[in-house]
Amino acid sequence: MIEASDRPERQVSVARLLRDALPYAGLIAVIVFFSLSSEFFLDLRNFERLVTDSATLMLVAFGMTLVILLGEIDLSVGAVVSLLAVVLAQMMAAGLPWPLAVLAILGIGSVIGLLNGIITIFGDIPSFIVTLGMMAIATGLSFVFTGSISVAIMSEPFLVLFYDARFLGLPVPLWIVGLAFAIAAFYLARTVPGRELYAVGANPAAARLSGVPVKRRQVTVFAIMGFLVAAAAILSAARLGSGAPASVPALTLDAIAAVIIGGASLFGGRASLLRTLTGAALIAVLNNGMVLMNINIDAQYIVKGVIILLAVVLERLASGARA
Amino acid sequence: MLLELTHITKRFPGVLALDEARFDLRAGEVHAFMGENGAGKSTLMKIASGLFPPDAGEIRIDGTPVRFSSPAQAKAAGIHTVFQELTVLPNRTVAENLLIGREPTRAGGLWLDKTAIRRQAQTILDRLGIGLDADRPLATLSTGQRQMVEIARACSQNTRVLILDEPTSSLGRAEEDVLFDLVRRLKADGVGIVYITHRMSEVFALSDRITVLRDGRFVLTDETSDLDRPALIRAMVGRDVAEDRHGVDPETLPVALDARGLVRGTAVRGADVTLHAGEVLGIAGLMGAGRTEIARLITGIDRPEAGRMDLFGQSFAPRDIREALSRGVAYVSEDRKGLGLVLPLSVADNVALPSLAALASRNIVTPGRIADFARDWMQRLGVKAAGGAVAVETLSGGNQQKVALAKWLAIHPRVIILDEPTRGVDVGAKAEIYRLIRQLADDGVAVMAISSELPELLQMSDRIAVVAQGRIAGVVPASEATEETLLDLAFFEGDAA
Repeated sequence: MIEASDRPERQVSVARLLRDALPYAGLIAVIVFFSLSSEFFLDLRNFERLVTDSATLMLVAFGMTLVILLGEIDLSVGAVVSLLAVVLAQMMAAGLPWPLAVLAILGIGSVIGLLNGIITIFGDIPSFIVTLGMMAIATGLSFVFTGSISVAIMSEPFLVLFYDARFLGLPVPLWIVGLAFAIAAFYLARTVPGRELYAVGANPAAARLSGVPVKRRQVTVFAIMGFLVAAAAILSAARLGSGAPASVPALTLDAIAAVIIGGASLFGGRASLLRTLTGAALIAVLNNGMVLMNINIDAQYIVKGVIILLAVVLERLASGARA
Repeated sequence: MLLELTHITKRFPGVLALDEARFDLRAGEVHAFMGENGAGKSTLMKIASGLFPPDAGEIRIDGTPVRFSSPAQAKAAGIHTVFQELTVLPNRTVAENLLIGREPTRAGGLWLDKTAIRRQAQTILDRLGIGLDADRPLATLSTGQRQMVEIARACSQNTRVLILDEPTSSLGRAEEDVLFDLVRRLKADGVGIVYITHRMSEVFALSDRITVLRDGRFVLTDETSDLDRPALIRAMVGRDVAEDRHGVDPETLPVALDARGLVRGTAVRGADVTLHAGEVLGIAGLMGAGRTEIARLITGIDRPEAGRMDLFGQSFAPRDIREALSRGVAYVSEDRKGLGLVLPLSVADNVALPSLAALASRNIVTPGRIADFARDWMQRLGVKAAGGAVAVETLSGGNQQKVALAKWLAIHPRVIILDEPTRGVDVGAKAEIYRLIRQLADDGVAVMAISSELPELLQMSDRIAVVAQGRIAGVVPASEATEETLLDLAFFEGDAA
């Protein structure tokens, strides 16, 4: 049976093709573009820096994929990464050994995520409002804690391990991203709670009637997001060598953009880690290339904004048959 | 001939939806258009209403060939369609909905002439015999009344052909009568009416001629008076469908579920239900009598305020659905699209959803295992789909229902409650679902089947319990029950209310 559609089938399938091709075609296009326009771009050293620099974004984007799969959003990620980096730097400055500080940060991050989840899910409040509040709180706290001054990290082993060190020839941040991707992909594809997320995102009422503990699954995802945000904060602090308020102003935008470019539905039920990875790589190349070409930071926002809108419109057209 | 569709062929990616199909319509007749879900009825009518062009074939109006490249052109030619999905603006009044897009204006189109809108709309409503106030906001109307507004909108224009796609699927009895009156009135005005439906009784009550389509091909067009039920079913299904009844003596079977004095709110007011393993207990009752609400108590979706339940002799007070499921009690919702299935997900993921934990070892489950599991259950229930990986939303109603059933049979329930198991399902799939239900009971499962269609209850049940005002008004063996006795009980007014 062919379902009723306001838009002709062909138009929808063209939109679907474009949506599915967007992250890959976009990635190839920006790589080709920057290769031609900047002599520094196609360079092994630049490529390594690009990968290491994008680790923070990757981790947050993976978490955002799960959150958007549920039809929710987390606007607090950038602010929380800054806050956790500040707290991490201060703990080490106060003499806490770096491994303990790292563990503490992972714990605090998970708790913040859990809080977002509990307020959203059990309070039945839209996540964008809850996480907007959390964003404001985290931003405020990071300024209050530091008096607006960045806190330097002196622990050499920490800085080396989470930025410069290599394992089997590859930078440690890349290993961390790879590990996070593998675990998250395994969770989504091969575990019971992970597979149930698709149903929870697409139709929570039906999932509940199928015996899925919907609220527990939803809250868990926010906690996972918090854990990944903490991991991202650790890498970000190591890269910058300090903790400072508002240290990653574009992170929230970039993470959401990566997921959207990956063709996820903002209504929940459809998202893919691999496609988010591609979307995040596209954003990372854009960030890197625009810096190489000395494009003003404000103009970078415009470029990303246009890409996000394009992706969202394509996704809308592509799901036209169901809308 | 008012409208003729000949040799219409339409191919969609992967399916031949219509293969040389044909249909003709006279002025002033009601022409029933029947066929199983997926037979191509809606596709053909969408072609007639200009929604998409045919790949081959001809459309003629009054003998003159026409080509529609948009619905607007079909409308201009007098062909109006009321689809199943309603397209109304709930916050506007009946009048505004009725005249949308052609409202009378004042000051050269600067603002709407509210008075004229109301007056014109009321005239249309009165002429069609629809007893509605043009000023009422649409949100205050029942689904059936909204359907009336939709039809009024379609036929208040220059309508010559009116296509109604399952107009009664969301209507109550009284509303149906109003609709039938309306259809007869339009017919008397010389409008040709194409009436797509699954309901036999309506076809015989209302139509002058019947056309049957099967697998996109024309099967027959005949005067209604020359056809009977079995002939029609044979034409649609292409084979004989056994319409047999069953009779075991349920009282001799072990009791699976015993519920006493269930109470919740005003919907359930002291319901007693005894369900035996191996029987099909039909649940009859009017809309709002509390049938679904009782089912929700038994399946742990809601918790009763009073009363007790025993499951196979052991106390049963599920705190939530998960607990009911773990005790082997499953519920197949009447709301297939909203609660039963996750439409955008694949058939396999839907079938496996409640069974994931059982398929997993230490919470880890491989996609291959899910696919095998789903394939097995799709085969057992005869789900027709290109594979387990296709989205459920692409399947026909009957196949979706089979997926919903498969999903719950796969947990091997001891008690299963089916709420409207054949809603929106065509005749052939209905027969298969009845067979499945019977087979379940024969396998010793306790089956409770809620239905609004009395003939269906009579056919599939061993016993029928009639719910009225939140209580069981009576239980009758299906072999002794008639539609009249059931309706009698359904209208039963409890003396100790």
